[in-house]
Amino acid sequence: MAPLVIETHHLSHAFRNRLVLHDLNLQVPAGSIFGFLGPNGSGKTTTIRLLLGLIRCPQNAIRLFGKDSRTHRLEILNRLGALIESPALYTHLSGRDNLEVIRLARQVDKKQIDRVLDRVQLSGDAHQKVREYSLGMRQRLGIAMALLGDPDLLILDEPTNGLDPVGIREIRELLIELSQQHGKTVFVSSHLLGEMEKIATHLAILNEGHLHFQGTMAQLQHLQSPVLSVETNDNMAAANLLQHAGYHLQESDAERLVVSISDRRQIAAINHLLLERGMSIYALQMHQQTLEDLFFTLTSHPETVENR
Amino acid sequence: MRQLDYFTRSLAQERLKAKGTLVVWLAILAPVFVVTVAFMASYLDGNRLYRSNVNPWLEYSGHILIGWTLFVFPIYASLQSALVHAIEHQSQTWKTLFSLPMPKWSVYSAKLALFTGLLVLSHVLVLGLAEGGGWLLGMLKPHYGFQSSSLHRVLAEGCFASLLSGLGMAAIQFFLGIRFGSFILPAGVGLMLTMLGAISRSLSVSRVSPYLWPVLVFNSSIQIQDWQFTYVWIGLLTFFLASIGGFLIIYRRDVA
Repeated sequence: MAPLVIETHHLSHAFRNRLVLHDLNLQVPAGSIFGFLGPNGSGKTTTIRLLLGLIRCPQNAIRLFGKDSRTHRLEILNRLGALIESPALYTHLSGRDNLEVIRLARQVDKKQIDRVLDRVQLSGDAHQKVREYSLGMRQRLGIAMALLGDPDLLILDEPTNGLDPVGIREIRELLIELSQQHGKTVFVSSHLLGEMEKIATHLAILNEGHLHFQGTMAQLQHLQSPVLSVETNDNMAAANLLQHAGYHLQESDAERLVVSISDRRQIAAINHLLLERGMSIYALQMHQQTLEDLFFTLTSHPETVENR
Repeated sequence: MRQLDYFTRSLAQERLKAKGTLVVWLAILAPVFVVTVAFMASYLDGNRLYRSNVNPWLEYSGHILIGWTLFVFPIYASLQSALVHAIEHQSQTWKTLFSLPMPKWSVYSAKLALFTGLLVLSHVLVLGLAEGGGWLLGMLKPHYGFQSSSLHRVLAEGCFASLLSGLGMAAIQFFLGIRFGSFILPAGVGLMLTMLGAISRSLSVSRVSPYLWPVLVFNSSIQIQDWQFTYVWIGLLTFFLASIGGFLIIYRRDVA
């Protein structure tokens, strides 16, 4: 197993007595693209701020590169590049000067500025003031700032915010290249599962400060279960009956019911149950749950997945 | 040596960030303003201000030093501190800054050094412009007698005493600027306290105000032997304490 680059141990955090992170135990393997997923306000950015030491945390709660983040702050920051939410830039300076501010801190060769500008395709606009940049250009400059110094770990918070489809694809390809060809570890937060599905090797799903899933993409796909769409002459009565029988209803309205099932035999059982009660069945249709459905289930009805 | 390296790199960052902002312009314009006012008053109304057989530099230097220390310096320090901190506060770049491999003390001390350096620059300019203005008056209005006398040492020591005694006030403003994200609050507090000091200057209680220490040093006299250098020491002590307070704010602050 690859060594862990990020580890959190029972990490919790409260803002003004309101607990926003609950007992988070993250394990990010070296060389992975770790998708950190969750809806807005789920605690992703707070976690990232804690990882970067921007918010104080208890000793030994966070380890990066095997070292305690509180006692080895500079050593750790020297090996990581970060983009937190919308990039914080000095808008009165040019793109190049913004990178120069970072370069001075990281003590890297000036040529690296040209290299990262080229990588995010901002070479032509490097001398322009950042206040004249579009949202997408600012985002790309933020990514260039994170890349400067060739860090071993990239922590990127919603890196594709504000980018057009071409820009999103370029960033996606860049992250895959950094991980696969250069062995970098990429920790990337997003609320877009579809985007993560294309690049992540590992995933964690956070909702309301609770970690609902952590593992590889294959492990997540394993959780995908079939669902049965049911239409009867009395959907309300059928819903009551199925719930009484212990089935979990994902959707229930006058048009149709969507029931979680574990295998095909349950279709026959449901059919039998409804017929036994004299109901007319108009449709029984099985679907495979998409990852998006699964994400929704994990973040809205986590108990149904945890029981699998 | 490593600590010095951190500091010099942080200072280079601060210099770069100040590029294209108003901070350097303000450091130049504040002395230019006070000396221009004194110069114009002398040029236009010199016949009333300057008597024969009395060194005109005494009146002229007094105008500049009192004008500078009573009004312009405290207001300038308040605005300058707010401007220096606005560079980070307005762009919310504290998160960028503290995600970099630089110690917080070096970030803080470089900001303080830049701010103090700008105050030093302004005082050097007050001295240089005052000397230049006096020389020009000697050329333009020879009958005032500027060319036949001088007051170099008094002006230089006056500027130096103003700077040192004003460091206490400057560090308090620096503390407020780092503590509060708003530009208005620290600048407004500085302006209010400067006005309050000017109004209550005759009251003995006003001596506790750091915003008045630069003017109180002179003890209403242009003679060095009358000056009260205690305010210099109190100013330096306040600078030291307020600077530590500012660092603790930075050190303990969560960047949310």
